[in-house]
Amino acid sequence: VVAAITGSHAAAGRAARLERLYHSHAGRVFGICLRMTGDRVRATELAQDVFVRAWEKLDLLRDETNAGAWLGRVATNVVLNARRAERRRWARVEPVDDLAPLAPVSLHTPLPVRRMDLATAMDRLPERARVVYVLHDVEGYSHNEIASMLGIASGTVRAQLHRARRLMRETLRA
Amino acid sequence: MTAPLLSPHLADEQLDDYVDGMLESSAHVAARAHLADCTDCASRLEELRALLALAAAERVPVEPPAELWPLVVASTVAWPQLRRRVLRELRAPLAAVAVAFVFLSVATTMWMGSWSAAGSGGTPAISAYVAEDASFDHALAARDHEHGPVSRERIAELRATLATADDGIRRAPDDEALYRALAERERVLAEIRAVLGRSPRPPRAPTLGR
Repeated sequence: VVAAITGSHAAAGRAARLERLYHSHAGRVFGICLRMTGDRVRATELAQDVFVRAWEKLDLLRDETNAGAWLGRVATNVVLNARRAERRRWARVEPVDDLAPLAPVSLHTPLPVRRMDLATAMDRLPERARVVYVLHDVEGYSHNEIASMLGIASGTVRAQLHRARRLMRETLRA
Repeated sequence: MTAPLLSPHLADEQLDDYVDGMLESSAHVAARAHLADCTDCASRLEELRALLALAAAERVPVEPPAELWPLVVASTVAWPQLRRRVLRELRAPLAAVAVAFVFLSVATTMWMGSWSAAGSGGTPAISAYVAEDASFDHALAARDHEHGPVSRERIAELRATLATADDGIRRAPDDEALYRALAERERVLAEIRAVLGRSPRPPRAPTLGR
């Protein structure tokens, strides 16, 4: 399809590369966007931005074995940049900190149910706490990496992480 | 990194730092000793570890919506092709517009030039002055005889002055010299009209055309 759309051979090769990356990593990219935003529509827009950014920087990706990590980093940056822009736009909107109780979850709860409740609980976290929680506990970035990405102190990252985990525990205990 | 243990139990933040490896070594040892003895804190630690395991398990691909790939294609692969196609399709109309613009510019310039010449009042060229002066010279020559009303010396003098004025008009190197020559000519014609009995006419604006 891509080769039919594109005219030149080089453009077709480049497009085929993007298509290959998409089919290998779209799920991971979309997952990051969805977990960090908690909104499928917004996540779709951001995932589109991620692949546009990847298309623009495709020549920088020499080794495609690292493409997953590279796209993960691009996705994180795209979401964080969008979040900064939106935060400037919505600077006067107060975050909602209270969490409605969810169904109690224990280690004996079936895994799909636990995961569903965890995702719901993450969606209900205050935005800053959710971003830090997703980046640390889900995506596996370190405190210092997150501090660098968000432009905040490492201690602030820890404080937000404590807050997010406390809220998650309270929600899942309820 | 974390405050010393004041409560008999570990705070949630201390448990977080414990699993993250963020406690200082002495605090870490103390927390581990406490967890070995306190079933309550050990249970909370298990709960935290379960939560972390759940979070780590969340790091799974999520099936993107079907419309995502067409959106990506539209904004990446298809965009340069679309841009090229639009430019190619617009090339002929743009060229036609450019040609029409050039044509209109030339036509407008020519029309403005002719309008400007006409708008200047149709001032006669130098040749008209020279022809008029020739008629005055003929009139003077017709009166150049022995028993005429004007002496032959005076007629010869006026004809020479008129010839000099004519020559000044023809040889004027620039507009300023032309204006001066025309003014001199008007003065000479006033003398000639007085001799010939014609009334002096008002001076006319000089022309820049030759």
